[in-house]
Amino acid sequence: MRPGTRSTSPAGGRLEGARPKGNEPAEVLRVENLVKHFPGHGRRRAAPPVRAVDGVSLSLGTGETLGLVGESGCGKTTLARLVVRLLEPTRGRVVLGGRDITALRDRELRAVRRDLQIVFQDPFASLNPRMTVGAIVAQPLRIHRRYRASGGPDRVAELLELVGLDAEYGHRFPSELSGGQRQRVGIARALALGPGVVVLDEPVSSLDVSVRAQIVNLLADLQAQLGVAYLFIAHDLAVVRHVADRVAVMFRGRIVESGPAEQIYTRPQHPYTVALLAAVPVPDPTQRARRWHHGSAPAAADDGVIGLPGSNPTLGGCCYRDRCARALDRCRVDDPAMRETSDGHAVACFNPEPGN
Amino acid sequence: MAAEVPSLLSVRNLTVEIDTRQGVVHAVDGVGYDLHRGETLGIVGESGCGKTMSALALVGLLPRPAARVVSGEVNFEGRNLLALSRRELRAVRGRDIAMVFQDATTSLHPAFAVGDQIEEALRLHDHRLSRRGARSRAVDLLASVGVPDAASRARGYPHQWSGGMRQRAMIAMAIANGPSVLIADEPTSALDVSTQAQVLDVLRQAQETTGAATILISHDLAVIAEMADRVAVMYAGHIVETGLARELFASPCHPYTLGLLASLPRLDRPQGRLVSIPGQPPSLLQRLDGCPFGPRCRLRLGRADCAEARPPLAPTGAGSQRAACHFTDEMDRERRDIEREIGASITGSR
Repeated sequence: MRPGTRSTSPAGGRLEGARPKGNEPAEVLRVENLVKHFPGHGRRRAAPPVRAVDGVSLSLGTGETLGLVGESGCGKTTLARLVVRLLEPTRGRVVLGGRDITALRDRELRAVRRDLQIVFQDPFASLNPRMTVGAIVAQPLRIHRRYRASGGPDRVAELLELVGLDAEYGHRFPSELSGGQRQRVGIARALALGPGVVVLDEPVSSLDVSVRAQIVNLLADLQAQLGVAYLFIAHDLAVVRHVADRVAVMFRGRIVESGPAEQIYTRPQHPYTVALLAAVPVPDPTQRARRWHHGSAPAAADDGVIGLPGSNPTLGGCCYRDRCARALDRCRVDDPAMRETSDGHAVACFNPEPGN
Repeated sequence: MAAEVPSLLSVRNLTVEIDTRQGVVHAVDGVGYDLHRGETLGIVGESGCGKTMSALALVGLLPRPAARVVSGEVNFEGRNLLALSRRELRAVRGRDIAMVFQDATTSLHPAFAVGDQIEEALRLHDHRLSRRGARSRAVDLLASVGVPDAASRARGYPHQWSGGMRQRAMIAMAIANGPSVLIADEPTSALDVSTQAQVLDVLRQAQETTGAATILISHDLAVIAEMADRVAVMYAGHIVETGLARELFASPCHPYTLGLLASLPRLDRPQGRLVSIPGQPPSLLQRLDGCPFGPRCRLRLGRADCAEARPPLAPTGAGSQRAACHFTDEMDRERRDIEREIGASITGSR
């Protein structure tokens, strides 16, 4: 189903060349020490910058799904926008298929987007209401001057069918579609150019439960079929457990823990991950007693003061220390770096939960 | 549920219609349930299933003039709430029946201090209460829902409060007059998981201290499982299944309930592919003759019963459960089929 051949790819954007060696999938996207500070607002000129993304490094392998979880305001969406270059990073690099795309402009950047697409959270805001579904899906092809070559209307019909929509939907407008159908259109648009990486920014959180499962299954099928890699950003920990191969947990602009999904969910090591997982209710009343007994962990320790999103009041020391039940004296002074505790599992904590 | 215990609040045959540009939407269609003293009834369903409209109708807060109650009775303390005048209803609302809405940001007035708004709620229903008395009660209430430093925080405005704290203030306001019924409409849906856990705790404590029976409305089956004693599942304006939470989650008797549980990714265990419910909820512009879930149902198999007759909410034989399905006797087999598909038990954990 990949569109045409990829021989017309611009030099540099080599994704197909690298083949997986052994079990490790070849790296297709790498984010190095990415930083985004927004200028502080407010009347006082001294307002500190909002450190929305504060030194994030990630790696994504071919055909793999990396789940990125965290609460609202932790910088997930800013990171998504930085990765696809909808925002300019303050520092750091984004490397796609071995090529640094951080400094690319205009034409070069456009060429890169053939390989790097995004699906937005809100399927109501992300589709132009004045364009038909067919025109929306065709737009990336037209922008990249591939509409004719890829087969024109046939290609659009093929893409719609790929995401489970009848080709007849091409003549409709987004307003005639349900939320789930619109999100399918958003996915078809993202896949139109056959990208190697798709950033999914909360792709199912605006959908109802019964429709959400359809889209989750669709995304899994498309990945199996096309070998596309997903950076799957969500606040819903259960959805991420279901879709992700690896998971990174984000807190106040930092990655505090990352590793294979199964390990993160069964043997979390960062106190924040532990608290976050303990706070999620489970659709089983018989587990209630166990949870109540534990009490809800003070993951948020909501003191009611509105913090700026991503603001980090603890300059120096660990970003989680104020909420942490396991904090040591050292945590007030030093900032823990990510270090590997077992194969592929890394945590930024001086006193992690003992893995059991 | 036989009528041994007189219920605190009983809803019968409630039907709500909404005028829209496209026509009349049958948002709530013949809904009935009982709420008993001290219990939590969870109403769960997807957006547009009528769960919020059915709750707003109880307290006369339907959006006017588009929405109206077409028929039904809501019996509360010997009176039919739907027959009360607006003035009479105003005395009940906020005192005997209080509400907590999803969006505390728009439910609190932005131009008044949070403490003042709670005082107002108190003095509205107790004219003898002095300002000073109301202030100290308001501060006590805020402290009781876990607002730190309540006395000084009460002077703050809603925009200075975080989302979780605002929702605590809403709960404080709701329990201010010691209501016997609390209606909480998606009280935590706008909050992060960890804040949600805290607010649910606060809600639980508030229920314990006031003894209020609660109607908890949510789209989130996990929140319902966490909080509710009894559950009503709504679909397309109808209640399709009710029962004790323990029983309903352990052995769902309606294909929709089963479908919802099967389509839910689980945090507490790995699982195979999700079994999604095909299609989408029906438009409520037309009233269907048959089962509203029919077009999406795996049990239907083209059977005429489903297309022609709307199944009544009937006892299923097992415990307290009632389900609106012609073929509840086939549910066990269906459940085993689905469990084989996802490679895990739908209900039991781990």
